[in-house]
Amino acid sequence: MKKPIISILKSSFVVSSLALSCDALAALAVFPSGHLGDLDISTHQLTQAAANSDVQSYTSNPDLDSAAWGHLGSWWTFHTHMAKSTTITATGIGDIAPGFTVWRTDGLFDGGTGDAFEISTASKGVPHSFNQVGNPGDFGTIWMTDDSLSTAMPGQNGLAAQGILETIGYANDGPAQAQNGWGASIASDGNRNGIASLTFDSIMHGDYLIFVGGADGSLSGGTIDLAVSQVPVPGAVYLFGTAIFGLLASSRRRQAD
Amino acid sequence: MPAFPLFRKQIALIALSSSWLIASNIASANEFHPLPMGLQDMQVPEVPGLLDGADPVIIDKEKAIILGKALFWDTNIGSDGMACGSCHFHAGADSRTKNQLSPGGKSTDISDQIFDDSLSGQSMGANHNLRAGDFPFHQRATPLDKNSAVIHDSDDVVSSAGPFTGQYHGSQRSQTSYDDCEWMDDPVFNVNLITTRQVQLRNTPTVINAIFNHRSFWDGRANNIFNGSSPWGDRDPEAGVWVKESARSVVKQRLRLINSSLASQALAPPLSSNEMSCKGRSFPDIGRKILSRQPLESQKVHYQDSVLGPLSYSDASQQLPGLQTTYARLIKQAFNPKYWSYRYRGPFGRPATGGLAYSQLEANFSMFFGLAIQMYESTLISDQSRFDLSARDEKGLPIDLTPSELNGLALFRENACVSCHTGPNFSLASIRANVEFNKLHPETFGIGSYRINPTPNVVNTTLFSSHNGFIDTGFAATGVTKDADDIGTGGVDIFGNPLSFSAQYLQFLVGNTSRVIDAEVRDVRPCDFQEAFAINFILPFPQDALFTPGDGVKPQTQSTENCFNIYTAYLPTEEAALAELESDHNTKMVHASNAAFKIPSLRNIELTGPYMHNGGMATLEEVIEFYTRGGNFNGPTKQSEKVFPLGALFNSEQNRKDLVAFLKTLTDDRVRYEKAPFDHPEIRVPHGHVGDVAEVEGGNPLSPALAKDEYLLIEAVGAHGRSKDDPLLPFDAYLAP
Repeated sequence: MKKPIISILKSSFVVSSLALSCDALAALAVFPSGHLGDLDISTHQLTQAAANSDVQSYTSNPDLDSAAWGHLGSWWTFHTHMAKSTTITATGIGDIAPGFTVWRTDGLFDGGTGDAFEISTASKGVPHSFNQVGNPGDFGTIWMTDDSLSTAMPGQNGLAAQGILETIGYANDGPAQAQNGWGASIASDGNRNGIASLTFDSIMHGDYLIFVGGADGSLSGGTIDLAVSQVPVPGAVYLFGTAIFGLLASSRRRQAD
Repeated sequence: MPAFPLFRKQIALIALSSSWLIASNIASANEFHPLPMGLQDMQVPEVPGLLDGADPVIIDKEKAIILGKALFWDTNIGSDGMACGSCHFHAGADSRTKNQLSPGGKSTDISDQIFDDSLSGQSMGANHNLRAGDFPFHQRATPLDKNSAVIHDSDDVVSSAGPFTGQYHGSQRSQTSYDDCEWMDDPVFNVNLITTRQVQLRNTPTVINAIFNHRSFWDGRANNIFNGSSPWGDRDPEAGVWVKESARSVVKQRLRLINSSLASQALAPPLSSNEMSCKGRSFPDIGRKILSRQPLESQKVHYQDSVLGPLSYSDASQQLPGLQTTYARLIKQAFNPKYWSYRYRGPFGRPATGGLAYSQLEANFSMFFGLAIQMYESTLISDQSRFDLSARDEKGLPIDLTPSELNGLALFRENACVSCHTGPNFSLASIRANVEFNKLHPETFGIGSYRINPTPNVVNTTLFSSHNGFIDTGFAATGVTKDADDIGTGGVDIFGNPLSFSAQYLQFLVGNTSRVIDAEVRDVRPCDFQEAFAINFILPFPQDALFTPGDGVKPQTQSTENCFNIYTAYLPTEEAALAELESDHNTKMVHASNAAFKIPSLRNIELTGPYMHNGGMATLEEVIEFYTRGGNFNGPTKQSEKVFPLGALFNSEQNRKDLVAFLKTLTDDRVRYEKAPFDHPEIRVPHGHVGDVAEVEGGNPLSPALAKDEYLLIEAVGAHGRSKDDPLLPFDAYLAP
């Protein structure tokens, strides 16, 4: 049931101040499935077989208006020591179409903090449903946005102590979605070949988060293997320049072919 | 762009409140899902006024349990040899395989109410002997694949054979066990026009651990409140019991015992013409038939029966039938005299078939029967399975289980099974017991965003196909059969009221309080809903399933103490609710009760097949296949966020095996071997008719036009149970190959 999306302007709803009534333990919203590893001089590839096996956890669940299903997709962290060309590939084994989003995080992602005010067009709250293609601070990501960043809600910072700092990119082997329950559309890589992949010329060193899942609920099922790899570079290269961020433009999403 | 009113609000997080903040040694990586726990600490919900207070209904609990156990197993209760135990004898359920088929009697379309062919192409019908190849009743070419073609679907039901069809004319007070009935031809249950025993319309659930459930029957119609004379609680305006006020004065009063759905349930089968009775019998009639008799007068009682042994005639050298008392005496010992000691017969009516007017003892027999059965069933708690007895590590995991079984437990938690099969009794239907258990072990219900709120609300919100909406707590539509095959909780009671509490709650919201007949519906507290229903702040998107200030909301009337979600402590104004309910595009005032059934406990599930409300799956493997493919049908009320294709099971045969292995750890060996309290007297259960599905013999002692019975003789078992080489087996072990 599609309704016209009101653009998310800061003035369209008001929250005067946020009373963060936190207990000592964060209210964990999701938990990482695991840490893929650290990419450094000696380790150039991290792999995870069967990183996820749900056919509609990344997108394409009509009950969520195609938002991501936070409890059903899988969350994987990795760390890179160097700024270099990095490729992330999700490969479907069997009848499954993968999709994933990558974020840079403030330390290892702590799972975020659920909140009561992020509710999607399908009337589902976070993280059961969340905005898999939003920038940090967008509606549907506030629960996982780092507390150092301000958000779409005035006076409000992100809710995660170790949350997302920037959205690096996403890849979707499933069909395109006109809207994802949070006001954004999701493009498809168009080739439906069972592989979703992103390559960045260079990403800064630090911690990263991948959410991976299936992107086509009509398929019968399979598993998704995940791989993060960096091209080994001769040591001399490190003398030149600084890292180039593979940042996305704020209004467009860049996809690898 | 529409202008939204500006609200200055403080919005805080859902923070973990201290009442369910648990120690960090339980909270560790991957274990935020609800954690099933042992049943030992689960309390039976109390029944104020039953045993306690200045003037309790039951004055001798032990006698009441003896009475209840005897009544449960006594074949004199039925018109033609049926007892409660005739259908609840195998781990509390029914493992019979012959003449157990019913042709989809709940189907809306009358033309569907015929026997279907089986999966293997055999014609099935009355007196059919079930075979493994008949199952499952819905099958796919590739069972694990949700996209695979349907190769077979039947609305037939595996249930329990009951009485022959008859019209009640009377009964004897002694000796003759069978009622005097005019036996009738049955148009459905016959083989070549020789009438066979009828078969009920839904699979028989187990009575073991049923005491924890808030409502009973698959459709919840046995009310939590026992009114003394019918299963309907407050819904029945005529219900009541006779109370002696003085030597010359007796009045009919309403009875209202809460947490007594088993007493409510017990009043249905003995009068049901396809479960135990000829048509037109009443409870006072049953009372008259048995009050002067010895309990179990023709059924052997083991001298070591944990409840009945002391009263039996048996000893170590021989087993003898009967107890050394009468039903009348037991009732008088167990129950408050004000319910039976009035000396005159005037006010209580007389039998429809003629004879002496009823006594008070006969007139209140329904109350004695229901409460005694409930007292006995409240002892049937199986809290000594391997899962219960296992030691637990600091995470609360049962470490005595094998790695396979532990993987099965992990899969059970991670694949949404635990979101309906929640709590120590593995069911959200155990509403009040879960609320109390949560105070001891909150981690049972999960942590953070994985938490399933153990609410006292009898109505909850849920996510179902493309909607948020209401569902009766403890009920769910999982897509086993087509909606038209059985409407479940979406049905109505004999007064025309909806069975569904959610339907009543919608009426409550619009202000039609006269349509709210179950009082506890009014106590529903919105801030405890699992999913938001009404909020008091504006969202950037119009909502199709939430009431917001733009629609019109008001604060809840109840206090906000210990709210699950303080921001949902609102409900729509009556005007907003009514506008939505009457709108052509109503998406907020909806409920998911159609084709919803009570969530069963999984305890002893190894032994209580066949499975589901229609008995359409014979093995646990078939059940796992059903859930792996995400159910059989995607109807409009299916709980699609809890029943969906499961990748972890689809991709791994080992995972499927492990999940079955875990489920088998829930079997209590005392149930398997019928040790106390699961011991029982002898009972002879009709099991098919001489012949087969093509031919039977007439000449039943009841009437020449009725088919001759075959019987299953279940021997009396004492507290020490069955012999070690003779345990109860799973249902599929009894099927023909």
